[in-house]
Amino acid sequence: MTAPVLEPQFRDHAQQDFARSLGMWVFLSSELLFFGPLLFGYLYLRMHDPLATGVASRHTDMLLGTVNTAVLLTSSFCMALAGHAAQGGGRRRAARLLALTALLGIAFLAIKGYEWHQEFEEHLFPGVGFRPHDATDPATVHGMELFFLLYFAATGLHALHLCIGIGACVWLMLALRHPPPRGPDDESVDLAGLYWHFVDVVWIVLYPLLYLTARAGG
Amino acid sequence: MDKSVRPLVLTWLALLALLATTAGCALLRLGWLNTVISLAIALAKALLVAIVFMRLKRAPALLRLAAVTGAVTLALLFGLALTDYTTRTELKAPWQQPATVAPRLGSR
Repeated sequence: MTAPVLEPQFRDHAQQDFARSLGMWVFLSSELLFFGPLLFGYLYLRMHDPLATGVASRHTDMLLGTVNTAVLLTSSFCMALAGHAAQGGGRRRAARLLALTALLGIAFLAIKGYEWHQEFEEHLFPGVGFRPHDATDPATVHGMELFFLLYFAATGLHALHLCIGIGACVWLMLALRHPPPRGPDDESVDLAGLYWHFVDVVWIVLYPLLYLTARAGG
Repeated sequence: MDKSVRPLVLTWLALLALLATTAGCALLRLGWLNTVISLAIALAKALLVAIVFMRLKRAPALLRLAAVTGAVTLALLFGLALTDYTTRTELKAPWQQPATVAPRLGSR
C-alpha cells in the first residue's frame, strides 16, 4: 500500500493527522454554539411557562423518539467500529460499516419524517393553523406554539446535519475503494466519525428536552 | 470478540441501558427529580460518546481543550444572557400602569 499524501506544511504524518483532528474539533465547538440559541430559547420557555412546555411536550411521540434515539446511538457505534476497522487497515470492512451507519441515519430520518407528518396532521406546526386539541387558554396555546417552534427548528437543524453526515458516509464509502494517493487515507474515517458522533450528542441532549419533559404529567 | 473492540461494544450497551433508564424514569411521577434525572443521564450519555467514540480518552491535551472550549463558551453565554432574562419584568401587554405590575427582583 502506498503512503498517504503529506502536505508540504507538515513535518510528518502524525503532525498532519493532529492538525486535521484539531481543525475538526474547533469546527465542532463552533457547531455547538450554533445550536446554543435554540437551547437557550428552550431554557427561557421552560423557566417562564413550565406548564405549557409540559402540555406541548406530551404531544410528541415518545415511543418513536425513544426508538429513534436507539437507532442513532447504534449508528454511532457502527461509525466507531468503522473508524476502528480503518485504523487496523481493514478498508473494505470500514466501507461496509459506513454503509450500515448511513442506512441507520436514513432510518432515523424516515422515522423523524413520519413524526413530522403526524404533527402536521394534529395542527401542531406553528402558524395560523396551530390548533392543539386540548388547550384553549390563549396563554397556554402561545407557550405551546413557542415549544413547537423550537421543536421544529431544533429537529430540522439536526436533520440537516444528519443529511450532511449521511452524505459524508456515502462519499467516504465509495472513495475508500481507491488506495491512498487517489482515495482518502484511514484517518478520514475518524474525522467523518467525529462529525457523526457530534450530531449524535446533539440528539442525546434534544431527546430529554423535547420528549421527556413532564411526560408523567408533572 | 476482538479484545480492542470491547470498549466500543460496552459503551454501546451502556448507552442503550441509559436510554432505557431515562425513558422508564420519565414515566414515573417524580416532580422536579424527573428533569434532574433526564438531564444527568443525557450528560452521562454525551460524555460516554465524547470520551470513548470520539477518542477524547486518548487525545492530546490540545484536542481536549478545543472540545471543552465550545461547552465552556456556551455556559458563559447562557450565564450572561440569564442575567437579563431572569431579572427583567415580564409585561403582559406592550404598556401597563406601573402600579398593576407585581414587584420583581430589584424593584421596591
